[in-house]
Amino acid sequence: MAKEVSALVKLQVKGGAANPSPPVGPALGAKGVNIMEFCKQFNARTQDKPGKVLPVVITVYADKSFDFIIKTPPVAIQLLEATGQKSGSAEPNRKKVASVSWEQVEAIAKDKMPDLNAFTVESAMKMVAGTARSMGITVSGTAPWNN
Amino acid sequence: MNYLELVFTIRAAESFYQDLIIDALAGIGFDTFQETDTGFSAYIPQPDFNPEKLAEVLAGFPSAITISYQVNQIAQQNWNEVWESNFEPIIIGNICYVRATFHTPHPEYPYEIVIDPKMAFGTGHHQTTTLMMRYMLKTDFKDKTVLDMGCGTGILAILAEKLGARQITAIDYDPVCYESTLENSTLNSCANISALCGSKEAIPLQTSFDIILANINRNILLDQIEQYARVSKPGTLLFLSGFYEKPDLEIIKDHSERYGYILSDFQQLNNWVAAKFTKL
Repeated sequence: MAKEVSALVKLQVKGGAANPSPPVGPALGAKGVNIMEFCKQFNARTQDKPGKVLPVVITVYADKSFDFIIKTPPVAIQLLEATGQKSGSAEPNRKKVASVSWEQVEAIAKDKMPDLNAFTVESAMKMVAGTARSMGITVSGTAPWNN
Repeated sequence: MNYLELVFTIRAAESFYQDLIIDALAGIGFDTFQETDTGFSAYIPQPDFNPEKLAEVLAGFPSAITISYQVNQIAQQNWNEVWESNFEPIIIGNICYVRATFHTPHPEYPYEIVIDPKMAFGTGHHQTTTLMMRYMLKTDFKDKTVLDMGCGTGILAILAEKLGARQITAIDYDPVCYESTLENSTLNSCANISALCGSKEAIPLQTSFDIILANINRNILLDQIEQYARVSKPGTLLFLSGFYEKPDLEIIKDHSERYGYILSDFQQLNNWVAAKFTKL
């Protein structure tokens, strides 16, 4: 039988740096979870991405046990990484700050497929390209489906 | 340490702005974020908060986005109290009984350890602590000098004393853990443990230890092994834990070899590993 879920906690935590302070402490501690154990596990599983903010969804069960899923960084953050930018454009319509290739868009789309509401890589790529443009990042070249 | 909670409300046409703002805040000392219905909350140790830097970062976003926030102070407290108030005692290797002050004593066990964790790591429940303690119970500690790095509650240092260690240096960078080690040493009437608050720099270099214990994590161990080598001598035993078999063990083994430690054994429990090395 599936275990009874008592809470879903959505956090973004720096890789390798979970600690028992707020919000991890209050969010999990109040549910009776052993916070120290969560931190040890999270840090061991994310030690290859130190300092990178990672979305994590923690499921707490009625018996005080827990498990969690670590997601890859959001699309907008992956676009910044791909272009070496620190931020998007302050005026995305007028001022373009960088450009990405369709190959880069495809790589991000494939990585984020599970989190995007997309059934095909093509529709996921369109979403990623849309986010890029809204951030002031142009997508260079011709879309593969127009070739 | 007190924390500040900044409850952000974001009004933007595109939802990705929340991710960008979180990323920017992570660059100025905010360490954790929680999603809420209207935006998110960001958390930072109070001494690290710099309102000017925050204003500067937020000014970099398009003016069409409305960003507002409210600051709450969260006083330090023991967030792990609920779990700590009703955890079960644990028996390791049939001879070591670890309990909290509120559990019934069982002096019939050869080694009985009392731990009040108070938000420090190390109650024996975690697989890595269990594995380290199992190794310790099979090792000769009589009259040995011991270094316990990342001591947490001090549980390994306390067991080392109960096993006959002559002098134990227990170090943790977290003041909460340092205090916890002092308190638990007293609870267990330990006289041979000296606790220090600090990182690898706190290791007293004038000593060489017979046994070194470190249950931390892969990256910190890789960073500290060189320092352990400075306080080791031929035959020093090094027990490491806090990592997984794949890919961590191989990486740690290779790195340790560079400093003259040879892997002689490792044990696994639910993917977690503890490994035993000997200094050449």
